Amino acid sequence: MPDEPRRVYWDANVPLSYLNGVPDRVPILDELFRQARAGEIELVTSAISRVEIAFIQSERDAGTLDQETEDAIDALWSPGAPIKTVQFYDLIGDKARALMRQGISQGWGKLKPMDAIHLATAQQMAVTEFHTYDGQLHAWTNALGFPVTEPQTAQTVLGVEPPRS
Amino acid sequence: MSDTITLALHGEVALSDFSTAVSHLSRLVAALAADEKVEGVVWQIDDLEYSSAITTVRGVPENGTKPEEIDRVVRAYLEVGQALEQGNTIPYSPTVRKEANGITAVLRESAIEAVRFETAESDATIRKQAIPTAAATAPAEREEAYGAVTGRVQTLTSRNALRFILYDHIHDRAVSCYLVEGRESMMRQMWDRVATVEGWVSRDPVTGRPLTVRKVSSVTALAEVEPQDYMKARGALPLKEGDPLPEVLTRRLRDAG
Repeated sequence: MPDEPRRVYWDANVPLSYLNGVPDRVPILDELFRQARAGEIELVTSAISRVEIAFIQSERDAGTLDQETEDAIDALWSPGAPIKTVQFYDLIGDKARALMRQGISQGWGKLKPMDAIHLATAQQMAVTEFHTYDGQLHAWTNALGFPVTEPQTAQTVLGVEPPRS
Repeated sequence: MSDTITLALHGEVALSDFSTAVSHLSRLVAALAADEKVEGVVWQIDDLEYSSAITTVRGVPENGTKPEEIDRVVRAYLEVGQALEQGNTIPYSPTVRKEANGITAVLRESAIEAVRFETAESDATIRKQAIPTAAATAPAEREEAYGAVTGRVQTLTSRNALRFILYDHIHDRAVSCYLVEGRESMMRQMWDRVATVEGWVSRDPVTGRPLTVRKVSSVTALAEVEPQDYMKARGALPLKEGDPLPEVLTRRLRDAG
């Protein structure tokens, strides 16, 4: 039986970095996308990521995105795309609540509800890595059985230029 | 009213274990029909799904047998499953008890992790660890809530069926979906489509994997994208001069309020 692909969780700021075309991040994310398409890893995120990104963009662009851009964003997680979205359900809610308590008891401060939902979703999905650019979440590395790190890969694609703005 | 009975085996299922379980299922259904004094029913294979070794049989009436009589057998089957799940005595004849215990016995010496008794109304799951001390073990809390599951519609029978199978996109396992009577038309043109099915979703209490969707209220077909289409997203929302980085924006959003 072939090995199961590693399951990697992406916090909302990771796909947002791709959408923003952050130059030093795009090559790494392209390589992770390639691995996902090759079945080497599985990329998952909470359905809440879609809402967070939509909110941030609506704040920035005052809701003026054209259909083409909307379609480009949807192409990240529509059926057939490399990122799979995980819905929020009660088991995840229970875990998120427990994590908020744990954050306080560990002395890491109050875990915000959205942070808790992302971490709990990753925990529920038994991921092997949690990727985020938000250093505030790095305190949770290995506390839930997986590292919380910035996206990284040993095989970053070279020479992939982000599109010009 | 329902006329289907489903038995699902979760885990790695050897052919011999599957054969044993299905043999007991056949005899269990016959014994339940005898207990309920229901005659003139042929139990036909309605569906077989390899992903979780799911076997569904449908009661087909013969010689004027009424649908209500078949429904009694289906309800009795669920009652047997629930008794096993809760570690209670099965409220039927010794023959029924013997065959029901024969199904769960496959958990003892196999890689099968759980056995699920499923009908359109509800389901009951018996886990491997619950077998030795069933009476003393509290059943795992059932996880059921209104929600949705997205996946590919793979099994649709043509005979006004109220049940269909969806392969969920995260776990790639079969999810039994039950329509409300009279809503069969919502499945037209849905075979092999990726769709979001809304209804009452029951989940595995440990993994969260969806098992069934009952009282399906809507089925929405989703557009699929080509695998390389994600590249269109690269830089689709370019940063402007002085824009904060994504993690700064998500942090502001999460810390607000």
